[in-house]
Amino acid sequence: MTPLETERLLLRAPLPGDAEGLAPMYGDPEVMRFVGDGRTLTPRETENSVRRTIETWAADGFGLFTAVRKEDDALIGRVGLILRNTETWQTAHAGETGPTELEVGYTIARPFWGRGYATEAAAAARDFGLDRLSARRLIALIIRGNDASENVARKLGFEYERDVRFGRRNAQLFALER
Amino acid sequence: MRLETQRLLLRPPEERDVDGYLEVYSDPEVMRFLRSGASTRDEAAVVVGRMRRHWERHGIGLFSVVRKRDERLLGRVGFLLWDPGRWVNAMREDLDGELELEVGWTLASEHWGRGYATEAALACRDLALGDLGWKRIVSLIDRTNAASIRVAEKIGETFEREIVRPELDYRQGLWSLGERIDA
Repeated sequence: MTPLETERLLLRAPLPGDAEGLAPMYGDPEVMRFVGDGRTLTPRETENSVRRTIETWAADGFGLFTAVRKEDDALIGRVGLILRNTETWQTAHAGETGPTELEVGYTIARPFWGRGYATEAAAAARDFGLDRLSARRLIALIIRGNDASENVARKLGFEYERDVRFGRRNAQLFALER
Repeated sequence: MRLETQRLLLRPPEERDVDGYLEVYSDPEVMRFLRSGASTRDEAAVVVGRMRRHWERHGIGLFSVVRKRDERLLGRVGFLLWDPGRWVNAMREDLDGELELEVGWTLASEHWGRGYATEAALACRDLALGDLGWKRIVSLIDRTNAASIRVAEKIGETFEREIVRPELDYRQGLWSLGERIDA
């Protein structure tokens, strides 16, 4: 997988060593407030998450990229495409039946907030979904109150469609159709 | 040509299938992964006509899949020939020369998850590699179409490479069973 390049960032397939650089982000309650079930991850859980992402790439040919800032090689977060089962909204893989949606997901570590990195990276992920994966519809799942993420979704052309139950919480489903 | 499996009857499409196909092609879950469908009865009739023409020209094609217990049309499963240089299929153009044989499946989403596609595709695979004498079959599938990828794996196909269908300007994955012709 050739990395995707944007003006300031490189989005590349994940490597096992990424866990170390990503652990502070996944351990940051301020970041994790609106990710998954809202819980922070331990370094071990982050390692598992990176390993699963590597497996997803190997099986499906797409997944979450590791976002790297070009100027200093800093790992700024993870951005990419997640296939979700539309009943449970859990991640789905080749090997599952039933309807799915393709989500553009983005999580950026706090030191890198406020500079448009999420928008820049998520736009590249959106284009990867539309052009490389030939998706006709993409979604973004945003926990209510996560205004920063909602702004990114709207800037990318996503529109609010409905609320869905996401784990124990409600999420707003934003969608983009070509 | 007809095939029979435990629960299904596979036969070439007939004019009377048009309404059933209109139902399949107006299903948004189906159309997420198909590039050309039908939203009116006339358009569905055109699709049925293309399938019938493929049968007439090549002696093989996509079967209408009928459930035996209630004679309901579930969708289509069967064969489609492709020009492997341009990835154009024989329902769009008249093709000659060395072609790839696709085993393809499209069922209305209300019938997903019951193994019907796998059951029908297995019968088609066995026919292709057996009596029809093909050494290789392929399936063109969107990389995000998890349900279809599962069927491909169940009939023994594995991911081979990404292909580009230039006339539609989109990419799909090629799953295959058997050795690559140009390899």
